[in-house]
Amino acid sequence: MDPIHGLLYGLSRAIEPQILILGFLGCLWGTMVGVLPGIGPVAGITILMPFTFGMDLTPAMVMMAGIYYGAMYGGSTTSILVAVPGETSSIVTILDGHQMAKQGRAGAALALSAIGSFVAGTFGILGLTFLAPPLAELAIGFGPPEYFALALVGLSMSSFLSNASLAKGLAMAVIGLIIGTVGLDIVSGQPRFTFNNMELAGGLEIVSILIGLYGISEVMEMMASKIRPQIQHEKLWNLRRLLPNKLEWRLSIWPIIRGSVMGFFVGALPGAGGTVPSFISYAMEKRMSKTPERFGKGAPEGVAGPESANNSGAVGAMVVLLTLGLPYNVVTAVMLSAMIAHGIFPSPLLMVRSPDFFWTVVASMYIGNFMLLILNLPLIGVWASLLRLPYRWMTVFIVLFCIIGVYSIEYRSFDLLLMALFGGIGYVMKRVDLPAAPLALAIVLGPIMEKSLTQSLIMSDGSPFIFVTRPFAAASMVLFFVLMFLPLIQRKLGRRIAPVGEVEM
Amino acid sequence: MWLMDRFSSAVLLAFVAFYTAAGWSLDTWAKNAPGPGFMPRLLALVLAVLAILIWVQAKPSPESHEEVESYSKREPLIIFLLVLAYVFVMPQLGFPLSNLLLVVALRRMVEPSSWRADLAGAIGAVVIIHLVFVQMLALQFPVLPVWWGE
Repeated sequence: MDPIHGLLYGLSRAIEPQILILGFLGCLWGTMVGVLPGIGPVAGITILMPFTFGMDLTPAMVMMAGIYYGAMYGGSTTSILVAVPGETSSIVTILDGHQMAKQGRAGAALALSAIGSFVAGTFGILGLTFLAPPLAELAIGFGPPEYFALALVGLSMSSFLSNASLAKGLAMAVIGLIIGTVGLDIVSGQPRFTFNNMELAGGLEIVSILIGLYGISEVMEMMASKIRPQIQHEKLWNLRRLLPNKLEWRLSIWPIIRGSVMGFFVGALPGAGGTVPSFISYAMEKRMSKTPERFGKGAPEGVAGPESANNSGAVGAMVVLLTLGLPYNVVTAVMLSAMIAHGIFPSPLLMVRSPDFFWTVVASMYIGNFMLLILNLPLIGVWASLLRLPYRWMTVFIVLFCIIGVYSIEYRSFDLLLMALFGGIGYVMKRVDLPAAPLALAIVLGPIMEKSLTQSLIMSDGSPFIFVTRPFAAASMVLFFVLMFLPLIQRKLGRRIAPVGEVEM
Repeated sequence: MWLMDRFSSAVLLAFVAFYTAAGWSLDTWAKNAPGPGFMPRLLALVLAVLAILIWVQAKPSPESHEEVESYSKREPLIIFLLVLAYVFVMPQLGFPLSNLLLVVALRRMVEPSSWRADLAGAIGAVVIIHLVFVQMLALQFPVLPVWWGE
């Protein structure tokens, strides 16, 4: 099916009431978790994921995708209004967005953010529509060595980009892979680390672990931190003048275009997602500006560029998931585990084997993008008022949703225990500065990596040289080793590359 | 942070020792293919190296004063213990009753208001949750306590 026909077919399915409603609910919930500080798209999807198990995969995926890009839209609201990022990709929006709000331009900042997100989201989906088929065709030739090497690069990149040191990020990734070794061995069927416990024979339930790591631990973090969003100035809430003025438009058009293009391609890289493109966009706009001194003081480009970049980056990450079946950030890892739970293993053949699923999800993204524009512009006041919700009530409902979500997977108390334990572990990890993202990614990638490593070594009669004799695998392994030795090279050169969050402002 | 790093490193090394011992009996290699113990041993080795690296990299810097952030230890611990207790209580008391106890406990221990308001709010929350998830979505939660009807 060519992209145009695929898209038209997808649109005919995407306007079915069930898919439309679930897509809308996904956008609604996504915007809400994006607006509320503390709960990001990962927690938003993981909490709701078990409820999707009773649905068909297509509407379930439409809803999860809606949550993902809904959170990208919503995340900017708190950054602009109260200088607290709704999620990580909106951190950089605080710098100029909140300054604009302080100057009485909150409405304009929110509008630039929403319109930029819409343009970028549409560009990203166009990219997904037309680039996914050739990319999938290219990837059909990939075998286990290529998959192992690509997964290895994804994990190392995620560790590299985490705010902690590379050693800590990698250690967490290895712990995630270790978690994946619990249960029956994929080749011999021999039990590993089950301690004669039947509950452990099927492996540790990934969703319970993710909800613990991102749901319960986030609640613990929210309650530990005494900081609550405060309405500091009445001017911030002046949302009547929603349209940017001529100058703000003029300054924002090119940052939106640049952010959209760059964000899509960077977002498709391992570990990048929506966060890295937003930081790159800010640094790029500041560097390109003739008046960089305005940045940090309410420059509209500092809002429009990063907000566009994070949205197209989110779609870019989806390209890799839907064409290669590899999750390169935690959100897509969660989506992959949902797809596996539904019995679909994404691969380059997904478009051939399940065109209905693929094109409906893509087409629903176009519709979702329109829904989000409407949700985020005229209704912005409603989202802003969410910030007035008492934290203790939010805590109660998040904890209850986590419990219900986990228990409804298999109705086992053991999964609840797992969730509670990983909630505690996730919280301690935050306190001792150990990143959770590489761990979460590795838990999902672990079985894929072990399977492809085993298959590769069987193919080569046990020789590890199979990873260097196949061009794509070899190129990926070179990239992996470059990443591993980059800190050493930087130290030798006396320089370092700033991780996410430390980009020059 | 360096003390935390050393602590993390020690915990990771202890975990490596436990993991290696637990997987000791697994075969590393079987015929021409990796055995069930191959991946675990490889991962244990890599983790041990990384743990040592974290230990070595953790050095106190004389100039920097460790930033003391205002974090409360009480609330997160309470939430953790309450969720843990819920795991054991729920199969005994059933879903609505244990939810009620959890919500009341959460509300009383985390930023409480008056008893009446907390109790009323908790009952409201439990009723909504029960209607949506048990009645509407037909999730199979144990509704009644195990001793009910014995």
